[in-house]
Amino acid sequence: MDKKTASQREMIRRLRASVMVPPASRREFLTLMGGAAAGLAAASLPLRGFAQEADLPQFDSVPEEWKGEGEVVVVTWGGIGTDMQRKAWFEPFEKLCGIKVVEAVGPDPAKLKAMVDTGTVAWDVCQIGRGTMLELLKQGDYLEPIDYGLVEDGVTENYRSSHGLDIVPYAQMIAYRTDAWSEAPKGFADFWDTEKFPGGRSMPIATKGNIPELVGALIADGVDPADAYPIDIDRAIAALERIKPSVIKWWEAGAQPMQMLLDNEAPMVTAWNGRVFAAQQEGAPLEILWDGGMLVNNAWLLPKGCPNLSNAQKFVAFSSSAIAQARYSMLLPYGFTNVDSEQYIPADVLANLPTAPANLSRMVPYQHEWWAANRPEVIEKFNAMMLG
Amino acid sequence: MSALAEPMAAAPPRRAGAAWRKPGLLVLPLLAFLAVFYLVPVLMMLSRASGPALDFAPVQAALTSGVAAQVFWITLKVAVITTLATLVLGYPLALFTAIAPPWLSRLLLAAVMIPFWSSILVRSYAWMVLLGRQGMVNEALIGLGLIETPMRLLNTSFAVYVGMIHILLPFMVLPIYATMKGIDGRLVWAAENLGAGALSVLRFVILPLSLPGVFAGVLVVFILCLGFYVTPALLGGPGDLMASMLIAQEVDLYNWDLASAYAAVLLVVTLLIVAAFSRLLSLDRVMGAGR
Repeated sequence: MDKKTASQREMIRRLRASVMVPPASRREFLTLMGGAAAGLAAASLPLRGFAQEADLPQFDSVPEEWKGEGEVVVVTWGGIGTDMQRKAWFEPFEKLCGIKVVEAVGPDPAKLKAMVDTGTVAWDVCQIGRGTMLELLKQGDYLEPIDYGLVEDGVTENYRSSHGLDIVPYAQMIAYRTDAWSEAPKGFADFWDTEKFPGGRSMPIATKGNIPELVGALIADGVDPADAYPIDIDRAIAALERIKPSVIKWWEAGAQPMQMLLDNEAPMVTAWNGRVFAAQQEGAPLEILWDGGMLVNNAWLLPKGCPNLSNAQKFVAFSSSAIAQARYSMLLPYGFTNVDSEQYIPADVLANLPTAPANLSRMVPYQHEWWAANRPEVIEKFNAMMLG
Repeated sequence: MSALAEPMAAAPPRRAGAAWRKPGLLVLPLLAFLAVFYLVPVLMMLSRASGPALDFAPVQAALTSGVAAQVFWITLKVAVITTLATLVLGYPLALFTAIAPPWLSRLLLAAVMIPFWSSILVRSYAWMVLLGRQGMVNEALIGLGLIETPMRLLNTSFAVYVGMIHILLPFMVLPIYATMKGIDGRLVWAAENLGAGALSVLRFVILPLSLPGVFAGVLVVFILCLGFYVTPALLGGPGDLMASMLIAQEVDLYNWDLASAYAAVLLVVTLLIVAAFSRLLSLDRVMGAGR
């Protein structure tokens, strides 16, 4: 009985969340549905392994300049990510800074552009990739500059751009079912080896803010990870062409590879490390491989003319603080961009983050500039491959 | 229900002046609504498609793109197959519903209508649950000993067809059923009186008189197919890219002129198909005959 009511409550909460963002585009339905699917799966199991509030670092006080009144609309990607952001950031921000957080799901960059173009901006803070920030800036004056006067010094220069503050570094990496084969796969060469490791595969498509697995394809093709950039697009596409017969689906939302793994539609996929962690906590027989994974930074972006700009700046400063970021990393193993967060995080949690030196050295950091410059060509060739 | 209203509206009553003028005034609010919320956006989209220099460069790009040609071909193929399948499944169902005793007929109509009331998204997701590797269909087949290992049903074109046929079936059944209900029962008696058997009644009386419903259903289902997005995206495999997904993709890339051009091409293709359809089957005449 309990399980049922919990999942019903979850469904109602999600329906409310979806009502808050009128689904203007059909794509949003898909995003929301992906989140709901993951949420339903999560609600049916107790969340044993996640950190509790008592384990998390607490704020003693916050600077006066972070406090305010009114509200701020924060747009994130839904699912377990938003659930944990609520605990890590939204709830303490409301309590300590006196500003109400209005949650919305699905910060579609194209929608952001349309909002600014038409002067109907409804969002204040959006969690979008740093690469997307570069592409938006190329389109024109679509973003407000970040007020670094409010931001802690722990957010170092490499995470600061004029119009975006990096947040939530995550890894897109191989994840597989441990019950699928007697031997464990070791990297992208094994991902491509469908004779030794039979079964379906799934990787992201090239659009909707996703990053196609070009680097993984090059590594599978024998390229040294250190030499993956600048990416030889044609060579990578040719390698993808070889694995294509085994690709069950090119996924477009983070919940999809998890669904395919958990339902055994595809025993090996590339997915986001935090989502795999969440499924592992629920007892799913999954393992991840840092090797050849990519480290990608999200960024807080403020749309030009956002309705609560000053609250938005305060939220950006609060959520990038050392304690706030440590709280999030302890709830979900995504990295932090404030060097002072480290002191608050237990060693075993640190070792599991994509930004931990031992993990980082096995990955290939995502080069935002290369992607911002080459994305149109990648998409065109990727789509031709996908349909060919 | 709009599908049912359509054939009625298509043939204006041919009586003298004053009679049609008043209903004419009554549609004014609708016309105003459509002008503001439909016509203007379509015109804005078309103007975007003609490009900043008004040289129709985006349309040229859309028409010469190999990927687009392939996607439009897939879209048409899916639309044709889905429409034919809903017709083959829907016609007998409509017929049976129309001739069944009232209680059974009501039950069947409810069975058709109830899924119709739940959202496309929920129904698509339900099919994901049913068709998955560990879904009910595979489990049942394994349980019956028909297969040993689960079949790949989800993320295939097959799943797209299953989902779309399920979702679109009411749009086929309801207009056909409505037309059949309108057939004058005395015609059937007359045919039987003249020695026609059940099959002859069906062939020479019911089938021709139900054609307006068939055409209405076919048109509605076909046009809805052309714009499908969620179902193929959720249930489909790597190759099931529909025109709407292509448009969404160009929107993502900020190529809004090109996206508008694709949308314009889709609109024109749809209008051409409707025009060809109504000419080929002389839709208006058939509709007139059915009244």
